[in-house]
Amino acid sequence: MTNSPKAIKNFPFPFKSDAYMYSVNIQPVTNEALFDVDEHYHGEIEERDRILQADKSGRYFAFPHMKDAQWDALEIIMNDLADYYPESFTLTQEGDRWTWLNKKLNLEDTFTFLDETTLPYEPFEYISRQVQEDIILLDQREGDLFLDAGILTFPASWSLDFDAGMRFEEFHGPVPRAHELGVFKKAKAFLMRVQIGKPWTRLNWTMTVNRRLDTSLETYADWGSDRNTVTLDNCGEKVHLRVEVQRFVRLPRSNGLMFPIHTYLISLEELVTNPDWTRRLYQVLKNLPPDLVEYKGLSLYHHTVITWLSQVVDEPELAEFHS
Amino acid sequence: MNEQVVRVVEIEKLTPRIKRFRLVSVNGKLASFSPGSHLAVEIPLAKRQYNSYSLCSSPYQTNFYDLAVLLSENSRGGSEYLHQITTGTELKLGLPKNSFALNSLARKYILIAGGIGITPLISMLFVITRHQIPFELHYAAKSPTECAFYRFLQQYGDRVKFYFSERGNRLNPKQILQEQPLGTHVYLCVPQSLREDCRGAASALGYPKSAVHRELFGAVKTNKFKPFTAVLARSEQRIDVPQDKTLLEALEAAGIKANYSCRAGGCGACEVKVIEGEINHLDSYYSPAEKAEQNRILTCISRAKSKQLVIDL
Ligand code: HEM
Ligand code: FES
Repeated sequence: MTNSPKAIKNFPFPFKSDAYMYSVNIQPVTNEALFDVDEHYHGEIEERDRILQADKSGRYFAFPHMKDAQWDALEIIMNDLADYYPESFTLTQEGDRWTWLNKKLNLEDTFTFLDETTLPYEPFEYISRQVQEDIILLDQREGDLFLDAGILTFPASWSLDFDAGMRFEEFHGPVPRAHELGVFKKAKAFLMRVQIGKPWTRLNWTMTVNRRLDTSLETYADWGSDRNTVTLDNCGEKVHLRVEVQRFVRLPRSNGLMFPIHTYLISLEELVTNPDWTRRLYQVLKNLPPDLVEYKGLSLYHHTVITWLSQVVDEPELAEFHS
Repeated sequence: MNEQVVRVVEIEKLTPRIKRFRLVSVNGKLASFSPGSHLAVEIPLAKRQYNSYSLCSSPYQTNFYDLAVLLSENSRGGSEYLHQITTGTELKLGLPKNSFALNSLARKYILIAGGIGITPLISMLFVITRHQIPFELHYAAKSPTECAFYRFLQQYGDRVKFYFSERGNRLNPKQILQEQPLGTHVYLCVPQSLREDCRGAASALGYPKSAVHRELFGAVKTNKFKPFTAVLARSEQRIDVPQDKTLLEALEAAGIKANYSCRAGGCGACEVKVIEGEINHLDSYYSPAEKAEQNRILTCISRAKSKQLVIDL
């Protein structure tokens, strides 16, 4: 699965300067879908289904006190999809009788809003199986945000099982520097005040070897050693920049917070078709502090990528040769 | 603020001084809300103002909002205005906000209301009973006729206790709060003196602070900002910041390249050093200690207390 020219053009390239450091990089979302339905929809929905069928534990959970939050999530997602992709999704509401039509998956269900027994899965699982985003639902209480429900089939090296029930600063525990910089305290204070109807967004990035969305800690044995296989020859094809478009959405009835994560992968040879991106990424990787290189799991191939990119920067025609 | 436009479809006199207004949307759908939420209502008087009221309908009800409004003698005219409107009137509302949210993990809820303070607790009852969590409601009022929702509350039987001052019934915080199960959360929407009594009793009985909640209305924007002048230290350019513009907007209007990300005082991207002048910090980004240093400002939200602010640009 590769990206079409259109997908490459739309890729959410994350770097605004040549040096990357953690900050409270949050921006408002305006007149834009919260959930992105792109050319990888079918592939990713099937992949998600396969992962959930193989072993749902560690990939999906919702604590019992998250029932209202589940319906909130379902309501927001259905409305968002129907508003922004009317050719594929339709929501018909007659009082509490709702009919959901997903033409992409050839699926139609009529159910009673707030009555769980009328859906084939509980509401959060039902709807999150139909989007490409991983989604975390956070409960807001005691001046904190708790990771109390989630679906996570495409994580960048973390474990839903391990983080279940944790507080905001606890599940960010392993991140270097950001605690000392005060990023998490400030980010949390901000998130707790996110208002109904005023969602926010931020980008996060790392790198992945091979076009693989499921880099969970649970499946580490399947992908960890791929990082040993990067060479100057296969770098452009194997190494991917991995960008997460994250959203922060207030859940109106439960007063919780929804955190959808859409993961986009672009191979280096796709990326270098844009010379500005090539130069930027080269600089960012050169300037990246060692503890971030380590945390992001780049240590084994960071150097190879820099060398490869330097060749492309110096001799752009190599890019064409590679792609 | 005209985020929601509603029409009044029903007005009910709950007591001689409290009216309930049922509102439906004119321009689409009503925003959903969580129990304990309030919202701003625009009062279209000569001097436009916004009053905050708690929602007292069910959060699961998607077609209408209910608000209950007390006619208050020393108001700025907002409640008088609402008490004389008729059905069919259109009103402008803000979006719901919640500073009095239910803790979703409570084993039991104790709700304590005084007079009009009952309103946010009504919306909570719909949620608490749907989730079948034990609760008690203790409700102090002058008399049954001065007691809003008196009939409505009968359905909950002996889980609701009334205290009518006319009959000499007094609410005793200690008696109510003692011998409750671990994990009980207390919600107070009562006059200040009773609130202090309740908090004192809760603390003496060992309730954790985070288990005692009180209603605090979020400040509704008054737009009462003062204009000031920003002086750019490097170019000595003077930029006037009018009351209805942020410093960031004024800088941009003057063609000065200024950083920003969230434009809401939350991310720090627009920070600028302050060389001289007193800052009125309005952000949620700096800690109190950082605010006290008075040496940097978030231009997207904060302003000057002094007439002029010299900044490092
Ligand atoms: C509320 C929703 C959020 C959730 C559920 C969440 C969750 C996570 C998780 C699970 C990780 C991986 C930690 C690990 O290594 O085990 C992470 C990393 C991180 N998070 Fe968040 N986060 C949220 C919001 C934010 C916000 C608002 C910021 C803003 C500044 C932020 C900044 C970061 C950073 C900088 C990292 C390190 C990423 C990297 O270098 O690859 N997070 N987050
Ligand atoms: S732009 Fe984010 S704090 Fe000002």
